[in-house]
Amino acid sequence: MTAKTASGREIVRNTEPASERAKSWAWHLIMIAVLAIVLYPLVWVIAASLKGNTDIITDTGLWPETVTWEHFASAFDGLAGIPLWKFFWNSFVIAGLSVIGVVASCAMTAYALGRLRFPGRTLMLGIVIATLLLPGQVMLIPQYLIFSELQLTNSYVPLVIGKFLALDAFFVFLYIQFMRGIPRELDQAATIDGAGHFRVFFSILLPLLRPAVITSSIFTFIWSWNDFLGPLIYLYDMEKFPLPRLLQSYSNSEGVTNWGGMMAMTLLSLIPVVLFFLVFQRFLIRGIATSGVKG
Amino acid sequence: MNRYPYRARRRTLLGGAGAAAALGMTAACGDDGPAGTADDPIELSFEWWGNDDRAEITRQAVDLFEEKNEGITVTTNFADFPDYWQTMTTRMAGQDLPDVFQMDYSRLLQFGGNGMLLPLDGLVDTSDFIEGFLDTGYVNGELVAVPVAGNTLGLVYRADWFEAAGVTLEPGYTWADYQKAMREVTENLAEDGKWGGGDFAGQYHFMELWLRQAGGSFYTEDGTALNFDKAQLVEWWSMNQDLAADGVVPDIGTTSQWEEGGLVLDALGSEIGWDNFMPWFAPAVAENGGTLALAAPPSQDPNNIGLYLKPSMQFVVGANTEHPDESAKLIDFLLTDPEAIAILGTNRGVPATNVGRDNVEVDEVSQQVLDYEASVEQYLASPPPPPPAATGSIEQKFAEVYEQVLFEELSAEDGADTFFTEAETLLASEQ
Repeated sequence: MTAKTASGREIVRNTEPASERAKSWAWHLIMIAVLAIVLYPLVWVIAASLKGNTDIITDTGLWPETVTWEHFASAFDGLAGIPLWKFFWNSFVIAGLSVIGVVASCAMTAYALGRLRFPGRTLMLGIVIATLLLPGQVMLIPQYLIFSELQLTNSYVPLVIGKFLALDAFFVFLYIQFMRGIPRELDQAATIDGAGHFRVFFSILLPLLRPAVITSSIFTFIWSWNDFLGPLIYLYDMEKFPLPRLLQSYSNSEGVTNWGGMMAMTLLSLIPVVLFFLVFQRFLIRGIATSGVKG
Repeated sequence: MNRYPYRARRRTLLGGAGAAAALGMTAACGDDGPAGTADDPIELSFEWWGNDDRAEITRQAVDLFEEKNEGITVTTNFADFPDYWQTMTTRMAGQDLPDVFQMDYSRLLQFGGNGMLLPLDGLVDTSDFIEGFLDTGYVNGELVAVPVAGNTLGLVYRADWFEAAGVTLEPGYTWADYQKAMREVTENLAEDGKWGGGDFAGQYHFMELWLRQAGGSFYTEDGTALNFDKAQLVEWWSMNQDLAADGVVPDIGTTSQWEEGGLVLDALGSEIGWDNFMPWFAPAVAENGGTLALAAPPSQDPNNIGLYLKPSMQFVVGANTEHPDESAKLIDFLLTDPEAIAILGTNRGVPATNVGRDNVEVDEVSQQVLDYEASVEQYLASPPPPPPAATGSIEQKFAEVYEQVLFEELSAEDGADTFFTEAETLLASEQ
């Protein structure tokens, strides 16, 4: 804003910006308060990881009276002779395969169900969506039986095979919705130029689906990184444990849980997820923005 | 093949693709199965519940086993108690249990009662167990489990707090004496957030103890019904009413927020509990500047404390195992090999074998537990038959309903009605 005279500008400054500034201050204060509430658990975990084990449960104050690094030291020792990096690696393998599986299978399934016309399409779409409503616990024992008969337990196959078979109906649904925002004229133009389904899918739709791909990658990564039940049921060998199994080994129903070790390990296991999120979040925001505009 | 009925059934369950894939996999290791040599080892699985400390030493002992038994490799797996049972019940449905795993006495009938466990007579060396201990491993007349360690109930208390209040618990003291003692300790402490003891009426094990002291039992002999009436339950649940009202014991609103036991939190002066848990509590209590002691629990009858030596955990072999002899070998090794015993220590409790007791290094707290068990030896009666399969759920229900009584959502009488209905349903559904 430019003003013609100095006095005129001063008047404007004294009235409007003052209320503006108050508004802005109030807004920021509220946001900082909300942020403090949201971040409190994280701060608590950091503080607890630096406290002695008895202090964590008896001393309710946030800041530790005496700071100890022993929990981090013991976390770096790994478990029963298996080094810590091995658990990170196992988690990476499971999460990485899950991401690849979801991106590869869900987009293709969505193309078939969202773009193609064939008999039984509506029914199939209905079944895919219906699996969303089925609680995972219901399928726990039947699924276990299948993998057990196939002798695939104690491997990563049961944990990731569903991802490669587009069993994550949520993402199929996400891709279909996203695809609806992409004009059909684009694939029709390609078809006229002689492209088949594979060409249309890989050269036209997949590049345009990028925001949806990024979104599903982030969610899949975080979900399989944090998954505990699957590895608990299917993995019998400590060498194959991902991080959540290591985390749980600190809890002890018979005696005293090693809370400090658990907090330290929690922080360490958060780092890759946060990094993954930071790298991809720019895409995530863009993904939501574009899908929002088009949806 | 009769010995492994489940394995035979498994092979026929899924035809087509499943069987083909399974065949393809077994074919890769040769048709006769593993030879048990270093190049083609027999693979055993061994699983237990516990935490990282237990995993550490168990893995060391298992490594030693592998070293001494060339041609056998052991994969190990563990989880915390509740999660462990979640996987085991899932895998029981798949008849896909580990070769060797850790069993809890309260689950023995659930697994052993329907043929999920391999009979161990003649497989495992049973000559060295401490007398009477093996009795708890029988289901329908067959030995399906061997004890790893034992425990019995006791009163763990803060010796420093009781001494300061001038309270002593003479052997043969009654439940009323114990309540009076808690009152005196709480009054003497006169501090917010510290009590002489807690409300013990929510634990079915303690009511079982109380019933046994009067010659009764919790379940009938055949395990199909409760062996007490509603009036007895109301009497048991009303026992601590005054104490809670007077603030002698912490109220339910307080204890339901605790993440750890009252002794560890420096909040409770005494707790009835399993004596082998004391070594877990002792370091935390010591850090708070206290000392722990162990006494016999209160009794209705000074001559009958109702105690029995219960296996704190057992080892069993899954009926679906393909290597019964090697599995038995692993169990023998863990329970009777002096080197293994030295490695495992008292982590699972004081060993149940003579050679185990001779070779284990017992620290001060575990020695206290041993001394205590020796002191109540004359009172140890024969154990009740293995509890019914539903006991886990009944135990949980018992605590839940009592909690509702404490929150005054139910009167003790209504609570007893609710519990009886629930327990009868649970018992009927598990038959």
